[in-house]
Amino acid sequence: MNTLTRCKPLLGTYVEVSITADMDNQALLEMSSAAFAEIEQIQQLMGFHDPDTELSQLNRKAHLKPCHVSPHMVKVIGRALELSELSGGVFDITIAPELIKQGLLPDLHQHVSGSWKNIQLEGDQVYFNRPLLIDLGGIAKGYAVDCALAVCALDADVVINAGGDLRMSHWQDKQVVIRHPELESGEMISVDMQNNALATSAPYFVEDQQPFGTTAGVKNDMKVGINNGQKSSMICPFTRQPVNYRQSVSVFAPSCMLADALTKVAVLEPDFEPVLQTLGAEALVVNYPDSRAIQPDYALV
Amino acid sequence: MVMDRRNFIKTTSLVMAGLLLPSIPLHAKTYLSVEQARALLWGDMDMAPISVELTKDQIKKIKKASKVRVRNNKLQAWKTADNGWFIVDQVIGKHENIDLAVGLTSEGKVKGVEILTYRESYGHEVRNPKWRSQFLNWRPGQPNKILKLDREIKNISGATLSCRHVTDGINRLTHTWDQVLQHL
Repeated sequence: MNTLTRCKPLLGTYVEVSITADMDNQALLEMSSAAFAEIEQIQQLMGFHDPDTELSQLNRKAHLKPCHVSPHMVKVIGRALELSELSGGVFDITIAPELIKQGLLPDLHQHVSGSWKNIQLEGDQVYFNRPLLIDLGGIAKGYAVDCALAVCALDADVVINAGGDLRMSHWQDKQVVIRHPELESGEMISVDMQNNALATSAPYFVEDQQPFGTTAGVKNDMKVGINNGQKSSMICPFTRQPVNYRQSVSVFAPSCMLADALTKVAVLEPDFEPVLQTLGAEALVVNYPDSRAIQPDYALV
Repeated sequence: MVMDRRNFIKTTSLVMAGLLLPSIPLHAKTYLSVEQARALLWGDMDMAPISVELTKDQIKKIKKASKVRVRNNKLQAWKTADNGWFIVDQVIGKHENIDLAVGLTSEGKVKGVEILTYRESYGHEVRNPKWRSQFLNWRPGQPNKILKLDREIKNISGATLSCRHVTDGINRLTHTWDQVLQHL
């Protein structure tokens, strides 16, 4: 058995591909290159920052007329709309304008706002029935990991980790490590892998920790407070406000795309259990030690 | 008396050692070797090491063009037979310290990037037994091993780390090509 581990800066983070197989170094290098090429392809299709991606073209034109898109885009938008439906709109890929306002996404387009309900996907065509902006930041990273794993040999033991969104070909009996939500503390905890894929959402590494939000949270849930002027990539689709949550939420799921997307549902929806169960996923929620949690300190659902 | 003094020195040096170690490596990973990265980026193309030492003026220009601080005036670089470059460089972020290999074509375009080593370190470490204890029985009947600081940690999930410092570093190197390397 031979192992090769490579790491490249992609998808805005560090993507690590580790392959263990009964093959020589050259074959391992080639397989890892094929996996990275898949990830680069998804980045080129679905990046928000680059004005030339298929996603940017949709954001510019899809409200004017239906646009043909790649099979990858059909899969991701299709899955995203399914999740919006299932979660009653908690998962929503149209929150890009709010991320732009916070400076978390570049301002490439006119400020417009719609919701997932304004997106129509028919066959390989996408149409927005009003001008809106979509951002696949909450789902495409996981999808890229799935695609990368799909090009690797079936008998190879492969782990692909895109900055915390990870998938394993042989996940049984493997352990993973979950970071403490406050990065500074450097704490790491290992847990047994529960499914093919795992993704974690935790607050941005905020330099000055603000007290837990005092304004009423989404759906009166204590775990999500309205943001007090802090940046957050987590946007409540109902209030359109950034939320400042004090938890680390990890989702184990059959695919990395699902794990990635469902972390948003698990953070924003207090009653996330049914949605996750329907999709064969489960969540590990860890509250900050000092948060005024009304939920148990940990919960695997 | 002598013993006391020895103890004093011992204690003092321990304290000093603590003070002199401003960061604790949290996790370090090694990926490709320089040789592997070179072969991956350039195959068996001939290349020669070129000693590059940036002048103050060049550093100023690179900084202005790339908007990235230039920490090191020396560059570990090889020029290939077809006028491309292979550069081994280091990027230092707030929490991370990364060695990377970058291939630049004869037109100064990025041919490929490989992270060689990734080290995370922290100025201070807050032990948090309460948080850790929450995991002790995170699912009934399923005990979990608690990891201590581990340099061999394999798969970590957490809030996504931004690779902005590496992106900045690559930007700095392409501007270094623009200002200096292309004329060598």
